Amino acid sequence: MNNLMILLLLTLTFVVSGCSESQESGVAAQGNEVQSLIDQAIAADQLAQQRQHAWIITDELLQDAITAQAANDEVAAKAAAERALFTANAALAQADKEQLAWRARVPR
Amino acid sequence: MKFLLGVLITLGSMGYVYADPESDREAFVKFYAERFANVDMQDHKDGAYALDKAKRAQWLEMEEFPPYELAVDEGRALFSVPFSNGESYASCFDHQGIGVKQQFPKFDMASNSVITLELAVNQCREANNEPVLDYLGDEMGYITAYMAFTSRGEHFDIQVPDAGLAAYEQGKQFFYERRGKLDFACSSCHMTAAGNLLRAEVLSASVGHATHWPAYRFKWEQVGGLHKRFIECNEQVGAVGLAPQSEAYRNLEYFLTYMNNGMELNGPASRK
Amino acid sequence: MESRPVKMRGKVVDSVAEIKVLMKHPMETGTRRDDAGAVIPAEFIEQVTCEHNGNVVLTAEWGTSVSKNPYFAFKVKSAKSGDTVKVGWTDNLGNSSEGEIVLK
Repeated sequence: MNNLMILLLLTLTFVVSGCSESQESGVAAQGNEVQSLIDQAIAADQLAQQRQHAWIITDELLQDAITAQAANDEVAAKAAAERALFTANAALAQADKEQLAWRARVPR
Repeated sequence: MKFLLGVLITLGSMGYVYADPESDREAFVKFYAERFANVDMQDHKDGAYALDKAKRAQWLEMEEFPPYELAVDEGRALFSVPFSNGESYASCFDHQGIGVKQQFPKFDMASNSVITLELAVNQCREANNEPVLDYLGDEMGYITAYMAFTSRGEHFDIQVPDAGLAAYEQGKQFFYERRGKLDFACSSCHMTAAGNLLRAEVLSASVGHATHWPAYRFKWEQVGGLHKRFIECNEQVGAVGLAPQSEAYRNLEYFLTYMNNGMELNGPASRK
Repeated sequence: MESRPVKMRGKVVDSVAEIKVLMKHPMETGTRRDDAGAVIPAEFIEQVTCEHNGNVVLTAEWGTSVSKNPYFAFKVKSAKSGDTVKVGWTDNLGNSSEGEIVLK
């Protein structure tokens, strides 16, 4: 009976530690995703800056993402990073479109 | 057949884009002449004050004793102080630097770039081993205010040599290109919506945009140059402003001033 | 303290002189901070005195709500060509300046 209890306890311990392990790797996976988003947004924003089409809001959102990340607020960091990537890409799309679109506005 | 079509389209679009500056200017002026049929073309040098009677009345009162007078006095004093090496601003410009603002911006063949007045002032200082001035600072404002004052009554006659066409075209593109989160081009406000209200302000016509700089803006509590305004405008539409006297802004100033050829200079000016 | 000119303009119309004044003064409120974060000390005009032919006709008590390089205008009754109008100010640091014109 005692042996059974010990076996049960040991099993329980392994199961519980196993659970927390997967929990940790879950958080780590999210953290990497946020960092990846931030990196992508920074890269896109830098590209926009080189093309002289950067938007002010991208940098503001990046700062929000980085601050939230440092405060371990993964949810807020991810949201801000996604928005930063969106606006950075929007700025690039604007630069692409405007390469030709501007000509239509020149009075003749 | 497809190849021929491609060539024709390319040539056609090139032909459109590379229309000569003078044709551009005539179309530009015609736009504003039609939009503001009751406004004398030269009056656009007063910007929004040419388009709104009440604002104009207030502004004229202020012009009786204008806030930029102090800057002009400072500039006059600074202009006459020689550099450490004995030279002065007078040695860097035509006519001792008096009544020359209307020459700027000009295309410099040697450097293959557009030279604005502010750039010329700093080039003058550099050539004489003086520290350069902050383009957004007070001192640059004082000197350019004085130089603008001595050019009152002159008219723009900017030239675009063949070598300067690329710079002119880049400036033109910037003017009509949408930027920022608000997706506005200079032309969005100052051409398409010129004369309309934007919040509490009347949008001025670009045909008078180059004449009255530098300007004492009450908002700035200082005399600032055109590039300071470019930065402000870009930021207002959510675009990151570029550096003052950056190539893009100098090219934009080049295009804009060419569009203002024939207009009378009336700087420095006071603006809200 | 660098030169702080008091610039004046005056015009007589029907024995009333319209005087316009432009004063060079930083008018610091004392609440602004510089780039290093230090508070920029308050420096503002506290008292303005206007004289017509040596008689005080107007005094004003200003404070931090008046902007940099203040402009103000006032009218003087019973004025004629040849009269002198003087405007002087003192600020919270004890500095002062004045300007004077002869009406045409």
